[in-house]
Order: sequence, then structure tokens, then C-alpha cells
Amino acid sequence: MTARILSLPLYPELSAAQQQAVIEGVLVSVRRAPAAAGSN
Amino acid sequence: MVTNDAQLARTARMMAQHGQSGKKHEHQIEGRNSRMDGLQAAILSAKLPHLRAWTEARRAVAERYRAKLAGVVNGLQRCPEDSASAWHLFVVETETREAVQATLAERQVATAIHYPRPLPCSPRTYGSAIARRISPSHRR
Repeated sequence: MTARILSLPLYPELSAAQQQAVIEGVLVSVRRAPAAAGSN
Repeated sequence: MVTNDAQLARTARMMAQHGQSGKKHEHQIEGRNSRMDGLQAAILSAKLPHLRAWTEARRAVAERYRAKLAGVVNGLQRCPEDSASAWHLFVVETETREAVQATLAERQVATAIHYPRPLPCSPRTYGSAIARRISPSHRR
């Protein structure tokens, strides 16, 4: 499977809670599909 | 465009003025009319004093993302060690893009796919030398 690009929200006014929501969303999604996760 | 190269700045100005050298109706190179209008300039002038702080804030967010997502996604943007990115975009590579996007959408987090079809692969330019160097799997 080919890795594809996705732009995450990044704004100066992004609160710590909003940043955490982004991070957790990605983590949860990858955990749901662990076979597809890869190293950087 | 920002540069400390005087020659490059001169060329850029010429390109934005239909290739004029500075003297009206003397077109030395091919260019276009892409001059900033006054309203845009006024807004950008008001924003300019905040640029440094906004950039630092963007870098802090990017640093946090990079720390938390390294090894989680397939790839993160890299920045040369002798450079500092303003992180206009924060792009990750993932084999589960649609799933990541859907999960984030459930959490009211908007994401974007910038240029889902690379510009060289658009119908107008498809078949160009650049497009031929992009593998079919990367054209989506």
C-alpha cells in the first residue's frame, strides 16, 4: 500500500487542547489499523 | 516573495510587471501582471508586525506534532538542519489516509489533501515530462 499525504491543521492560534485532539485522532486511527502504521 | 538577492528581486519585479525593466513599455523578458493590489497590501501591512510571533507559534505546534507523531505515521515533513520552516502546512504520510481523515473528522478536526492530483498530472499538463516521472500510484 502506498503512503499518501494528509495535511493536519496547524495555526498559530491552535490551543493546546486542539493540538491534543489532532494528535489523539491520529493515534486512535493508527491503532485501529496497526498493520498499516509505519516508522518515520 | 522575500529575498536578499538584489538581482533576483529585480528579475521578480520585472516578471510581475509584464517583463518591464522599470521603464514603461520596455519589456525585456516574458512576464505577467501579478502586482499586489492596494487592499491586499494594506491587510498584509497590518499583519506584518505579527509575523514573527505567529511563525514561532506555528513552529511550537509543529514541534509538538513531530514529537508525538514520529513513528506513528509513515512519514513526516523534514526540514534541513540549516533552515527553519514556517510550517505553512504540516503534512504527514500515511497508508491509512482516509481512515485518519475520517477519525479526525469525527472529532471535528478538519484536514486537507493538498493537490490530490499533482499539478503536472492535471488534464492540461498530463503527459508532460514531469508527469511522466511521477508513478501512477502517486498521481492520486
